[in-house]
Amino acid sequence: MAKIEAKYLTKVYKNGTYALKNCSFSVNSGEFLVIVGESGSGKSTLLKVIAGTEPLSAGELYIDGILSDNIPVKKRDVSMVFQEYVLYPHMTVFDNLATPLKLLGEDEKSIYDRVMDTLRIFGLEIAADVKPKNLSGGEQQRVALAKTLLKRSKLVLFDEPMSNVDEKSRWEYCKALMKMKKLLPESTFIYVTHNTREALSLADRIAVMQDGVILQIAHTDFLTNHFEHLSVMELLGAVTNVEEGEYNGEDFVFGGLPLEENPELIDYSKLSAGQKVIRVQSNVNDVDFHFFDEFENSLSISSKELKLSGNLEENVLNFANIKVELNDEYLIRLLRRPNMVDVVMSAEKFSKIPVSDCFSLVFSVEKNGGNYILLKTNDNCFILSEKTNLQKGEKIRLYYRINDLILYDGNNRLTCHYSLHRKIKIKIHDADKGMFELLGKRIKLGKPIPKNAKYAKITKKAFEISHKKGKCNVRILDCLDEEFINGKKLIHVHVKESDEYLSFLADESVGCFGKNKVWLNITPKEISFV
Amino acid sequence: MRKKGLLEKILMREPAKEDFSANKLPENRIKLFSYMLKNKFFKIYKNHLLMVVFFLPLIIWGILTMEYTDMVYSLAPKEGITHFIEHWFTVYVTAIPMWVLAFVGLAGGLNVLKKLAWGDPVIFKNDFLRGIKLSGKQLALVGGLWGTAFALIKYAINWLGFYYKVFDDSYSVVFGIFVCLFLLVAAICYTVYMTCMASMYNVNFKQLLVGSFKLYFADCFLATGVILLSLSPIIILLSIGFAITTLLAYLFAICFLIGIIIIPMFLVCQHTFDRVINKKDYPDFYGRGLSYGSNPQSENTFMADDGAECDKTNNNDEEIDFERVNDGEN
Repeated sequence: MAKIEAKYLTKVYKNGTYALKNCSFSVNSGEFLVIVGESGSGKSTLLKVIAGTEPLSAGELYIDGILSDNIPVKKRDVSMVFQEYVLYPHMTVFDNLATPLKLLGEDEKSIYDRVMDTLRIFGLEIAADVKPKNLSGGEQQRVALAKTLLKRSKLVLFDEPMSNVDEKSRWEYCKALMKMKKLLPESTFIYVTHNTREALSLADRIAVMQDGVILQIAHTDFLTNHFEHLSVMELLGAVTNVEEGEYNGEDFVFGGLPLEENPELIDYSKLSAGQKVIRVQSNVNDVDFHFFDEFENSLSISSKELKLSGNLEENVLNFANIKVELNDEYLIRLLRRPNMVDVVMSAEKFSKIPVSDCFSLVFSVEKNGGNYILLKTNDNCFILSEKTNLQKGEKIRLYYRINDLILYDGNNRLTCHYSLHRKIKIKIHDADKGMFELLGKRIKLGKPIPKNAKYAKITKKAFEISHKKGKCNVRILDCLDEEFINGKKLIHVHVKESDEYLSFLADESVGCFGKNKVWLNITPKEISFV
Repeated sequence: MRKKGLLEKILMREPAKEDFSANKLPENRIKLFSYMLKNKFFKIYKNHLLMVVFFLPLIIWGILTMEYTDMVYSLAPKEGITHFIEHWFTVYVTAIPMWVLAFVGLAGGLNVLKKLAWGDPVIFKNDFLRGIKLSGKQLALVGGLWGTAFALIKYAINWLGFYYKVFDDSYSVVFGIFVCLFLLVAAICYTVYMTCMASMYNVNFKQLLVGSFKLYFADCFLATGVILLSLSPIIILLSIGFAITTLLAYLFAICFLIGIIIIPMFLVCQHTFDRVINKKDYPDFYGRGLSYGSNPQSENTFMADDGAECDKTNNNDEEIDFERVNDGEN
């Protein structure tokens, strides 16, 4: 069993390149998730992060509910199959498979039986006594699979294993993989590829990545009918014909002619008269045409999230005829507290059963589309990817965790992913010399510090993020996290000796991981001493 | 695709263009013999070395008793006859446990050889030990029987030698020696069939004795010819009678003969088994290692397994149904 939950994973390389940008997803135990994306989209990095071979710059990764930081790489029980053939060239196929078992101290007889049985499963028994160089690429990869099967890890990661395999052997490999999945029903498989055919034939769910961002994650048969973004459609190779047109307030108009029948499942609240629309013909699914706005976002009713209007009164959020009392943990993550807010709930995070700290919403079923249901509450619709026998008109209750709510004020996100600390208390040293230490640097204030003062209380206003060194500043080296919010970047910085972190809003261009020099200019006036 | 470094290129090389397959097998057992020597020589040699370990006591005993034997043979007939029983007992009866040990090794070696001849993969340590486990006991008994038979025939031959020296009755002696040699050849062939049968079939000792006897006589001339031809290097060297040639025979046996001469013997037994029993009673064994033979591996291969069609594995999580809400309920 290995349930993966990734929250806002970010990976920035030393040169400042973002490999992952706030990637959030979850993978159930025993599920086969395929991550599809072009080269350089961050797929392999994501895999390495899960394996623990690549440290995260920010975000949280939970394996079976345990924060991955607390699980050493060796104890993660992860097997990885790479695109290169990672077999010992001087050993026979049998020895390649038997060596790890020998190291684990298993007895010879059981090793022999297990290895030969495993090789038999992959049709490689006959090659047990030959060296890898005598095997074809596909066979070598099948040996790598056999090695993984022997280990019976609860999490199996594949990094484009078929990229070096010729076309002829791919289908055999694919079948071997499916057989292996059957033999390891409790193991979670995460498979990275740029080949759509592989993804569609293997996956339970597919995640589509581009430029370090997960564009969409959905069940395979659902994904091929509902594209959240044109890029997803393009990446899956589903685009055959693209046509530009507009919405005239009532009808979609293409080539000067309105459509005879307006398409189903379009969210008309996203449309305004005269708006440009893109119609894309698909070649992989039952739905012939998909509609996107000029920014290539889908015009269909969202399968990603449900957006409802609400208002915030003190700690209580009113929306969809329910009242939800926000907890302190949530409130600390709010940047502002305007009265009118938009409440956004991720479709993926709805639960059929009550979970801790949750509220419930009642939905009526508007349509059962076979592999999805269209749900409605308070005139707001969203699509849930689920195969069910629910009929139109039936009502169901779904549960949602308070902490997973995201509030917006128009287009501005109000909820940070992490708690936002506005004020910190830092222990000061050498007070009489007008100096104290912050973020590991000595700060000369240029104003006297009271003799008995032990702590400096610094408010958010005291800080300003800058690329240039100012008069009284520290260089940010120990950035804990950053998140992209409303065209700005929210940076969380760990404060030494205080076990706290500070959060600052900065321009999106400000890089705080890697080699970038970011200075925190401090306004001494805003600092008080206690 | 990532660029390979020089070391990686040297170590890993490019993978083979074609899938590894054992289907390109020879058409008959004569070709199989040369195919094995050509393609599996190192494995055969490794098998030989493993077997030699079990044959070593016997070989060393043979070398150690050479001088004693020479001494007894060089004595005057009347003097020699007094040492005759003692010599026979010391050299040949004492060797029986060593034959038993050698045949235990042969059990392991034949199991490996069987796999090599059948084109199956060989994991030496496991397969050798497995062979000993499967047929070691039976072959130990066969070794004991052979050792006894050899000792008795040797007794008869030596006795005839002394008889000739004492009575000079060449007709009776020639006839007697001819009978003894005939018995020796028959015993060798019968033993070969017993060892091969024990290493292949799961039969009890009685069935082994009867079955191998019948099987040997089913292909008597061919089997005798092949077995004698296989043993001819040793027979020739030993029959010359010089100490140097005898030592050479032992040296050859240690260096490579044991592992190689058992191949044609095994193959001729296989030929008989195929002809007489395999086709009907053991179809899985029929023609194994040859192009026309059965290949159980391919039947078990992944490709032939229809059950593994790409039907997707469902989530392991238990399906939870939606919580339905009645009208008016909130």
